[in-house]
Formats: sequence, structure tokens, C-alpha cells
Amino acid sequence: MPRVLSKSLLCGLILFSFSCASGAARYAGELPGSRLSEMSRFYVQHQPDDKRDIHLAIQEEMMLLGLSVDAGKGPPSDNYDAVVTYVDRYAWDVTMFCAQLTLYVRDTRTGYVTATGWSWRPSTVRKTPQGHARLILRELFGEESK
Amino acid sequence: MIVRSLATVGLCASAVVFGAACSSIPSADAMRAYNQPIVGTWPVAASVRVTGGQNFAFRIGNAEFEKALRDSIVDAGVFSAVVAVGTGEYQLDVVLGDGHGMEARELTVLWSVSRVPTHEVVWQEFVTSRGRSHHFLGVTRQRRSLEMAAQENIRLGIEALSRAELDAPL
Repeated sequence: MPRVLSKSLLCGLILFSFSCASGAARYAGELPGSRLSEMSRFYVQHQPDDKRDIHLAIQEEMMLLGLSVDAGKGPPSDNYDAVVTYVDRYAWDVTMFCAQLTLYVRDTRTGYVTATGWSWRPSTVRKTPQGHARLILRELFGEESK
Repeated sequence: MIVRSLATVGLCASAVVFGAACSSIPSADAMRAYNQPIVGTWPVAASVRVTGGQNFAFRIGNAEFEKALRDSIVDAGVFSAVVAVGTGEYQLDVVLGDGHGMEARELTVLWSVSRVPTHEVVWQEFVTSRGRSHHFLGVTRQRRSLEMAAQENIRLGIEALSRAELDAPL
């Protein structure tokens, strides 16, 4: 009898784990013709709706990867290889949390997006915008790119 | 006896949650756009590649979206032919990106066309769409909202593509 019971519980646990699995997901990829590996100077542009200064968190994470990065409000005033923009989305579960962060790397030479990535985390495995940025950037640039 | 009953109830509840999660993945047929109005057509063969999707509950899978997109493009006739990746004159890259909201789904997708031999991007546009289902069941409502947003995105994307000034090599 205990064996049947433990099997049922194990079965239930597996099914429950599959169905309620964290659901955390992320993606990072380059578009055809991307020069991302050749780029050395980046500018993270603050987004008008962002009141949390996420551009500074992204800058910090990019610098940890050994990249040369400036960040600021308004368009870049210097010559950069790429401009990084972002969209942050929030959800409510007891407290507000950043559910998704999406990054866009735009090649300044062409004006087109050359690489993009997003990270989505549900409430149970929530992360700060900086944590999201870390996951995306490490996948996009590798652990230490330059 | 009580423990056994609890285990049975727990198992049934897990099966219901599992079933709900499985039925919450958007399908290709539901995302396909029909009777697509287009402004212009491009006499070139193009391949289609979809990235950024996730085959998980309440997420759009790459394969499903690509099938829906491919069928919609063929139906609309915006390209002369849809061919395998790496062949043809152009490649349409569609990157599923920012999408969030429990019931009023908003989906932002990056549409990008590049020349195949040179990989030079010739057209790019962000397409944002929304979908809102009023189905009674929460699982179905969320899945349908996402499918509606994806279908609308395909419709708007193809329309924008048909307006784009691609300089087709004739």
C-alpha cells in the first residue's frame, strides 16, 4: 500500500512540476549580416517611460562583460558602433516585479536592429531588470566577450 | 485511507493542471491570416525564418508561427515563392519579442528582410498587435488572446511588407 501511495505522489509531483514549471524563458540572437562580434563601442539609451534607470543597469552588465559602454538620456552624441534600447514589462503578484526585459542592439551604420534578446520570468523565479539584462547579454555576447 | 484519498485528489489536480498547460500552446492554424489585403507584390523568391519563440505554455513556438506565417504569405502572394532558408533572393526574418499581458495580449515582433547573398538588411519594421478573447475558460482565453495577437501581427506584417520598397533584382 505505501508503495502505491508513493508512486501516486511521485506521479503527481512529476505532472505538477511539468505543468507548473517555472516557465522562465529567454532568447538572444543576431540577424543576418550582424557585425556584433566586431563592435566595440556601445551606447545604452535611456527610454522615456523608464523611471528605474535601467539603462545604467544594462551598462553595468555590459561593462562586466568587458565591453566599452556609455549610457545616457537622449540620442548618442559620439560615434558608437551600436545603440542599445530596451522595453521593460511589469506584472503584479503580491508586489510588482519585472516580468520581461527585451533588448535591441541597433547598428549605427545601417540604423537597423542587428541583434535582440529577451528574458521572461514569472513571479516565482523573479529577477530584477539587471538580472534579466545579465541573462540576455551573456547569451548574446558570451561570458566575457572582449 | 484519508492519505490515499488525498493522494488521489492530488494526482487528479496535477493531471488537470498538466492538461491545462498542454492545451495552452497557440496553434498554427489559429494564427494564420486569411484573405490578406496587400498593396504590392515582389517578384522574388524568399525564405522565412522565425526565431525568439518558445514552445511552452502561453508562449508562441517558432515552428507554429513559421507555419502560420508561411501559409499566410503564400496565400497573400506577397513573394513569388516561399523557398527553403539559404535559397532564394531574400530572407524574411521574424523575431518574436516583447509580448506581455495576461488577457489583453500585446505582441511586438521584429520583421526584417535581407538579401541572401550579401546578408544586407533592406527593410525592417516593428509590428505591434493586440488580441483579446472573451472566452469563459481562463486557459482558453489566454491562448486565444495570444493567437489573435499573433494572427493580427501576421496580417499587419504582411501588409507592411507589401508596402515596403524592396528593390528586387530583376
